[in-house]
Amino acid sequence: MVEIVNSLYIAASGMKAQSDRLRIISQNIANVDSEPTQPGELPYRRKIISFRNELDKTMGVELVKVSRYDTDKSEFGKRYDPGHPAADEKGYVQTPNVNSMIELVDMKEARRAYEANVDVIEVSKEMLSQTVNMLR
Amino acid sequence: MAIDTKLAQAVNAYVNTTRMKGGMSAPNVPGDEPVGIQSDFSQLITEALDKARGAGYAGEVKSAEAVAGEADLQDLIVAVTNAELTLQTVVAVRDRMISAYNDIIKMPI
Repeated sequence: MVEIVNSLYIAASGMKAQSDRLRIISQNIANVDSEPTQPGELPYRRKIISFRNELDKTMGVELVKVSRYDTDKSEFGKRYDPGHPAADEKGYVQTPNVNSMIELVDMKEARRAYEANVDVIEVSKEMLSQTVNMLR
Repeated sequence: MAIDTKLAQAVNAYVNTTRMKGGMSAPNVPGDEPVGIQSDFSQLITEALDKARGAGYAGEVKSAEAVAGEADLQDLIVAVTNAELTLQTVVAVRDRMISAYNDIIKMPI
């Protein structure tokens, strides 16, 4: 019985990790048009989240934890817009290095991973209930 | 919190009931064995209910924290599921033990 209860905790850690991932993705999606307001200023830089397995000593299981938040080092985009307040002498404005398509795919992935963890919780709950029902 | 007080009352009621039962039926049954079984039985129920009360309390604390915005929803779900399943187990064991107890009472001597 303890094993199945442990799987509840493991799945919960996965759900937490995925919701943190969704938080980062939503920041990227929301800031897809965050451009600089004056020349020399930088636009929004895409954020990346990475996970790590962590041994929980009391349960003896590997939970998932957020290891670090990084920024995407790739180059910013460029758009020709001489009228923009942040345009350089050639008339180009730097745009965030966020690709909405990639963020949407990442979001789908986070959603699926979250669903998988929810399924684990549901199944372990069901298995425990079935075992208890054997007593009746 | 509401569940906690109810559970505490239930535990007390249970302990009292099992004690009363033991006091009433002990003179009728000769030998030491039934008394031993009874005390084991009440102890089992008390321990199991204590465990359920602990799980229920943990669930209540988590829901209070979640309402205050201090706990994650995931932790709350785990705590509540744990409490629910422990209580289910205790209730099932209790029903089973009582039916076994009834079978022994109905046994023709």
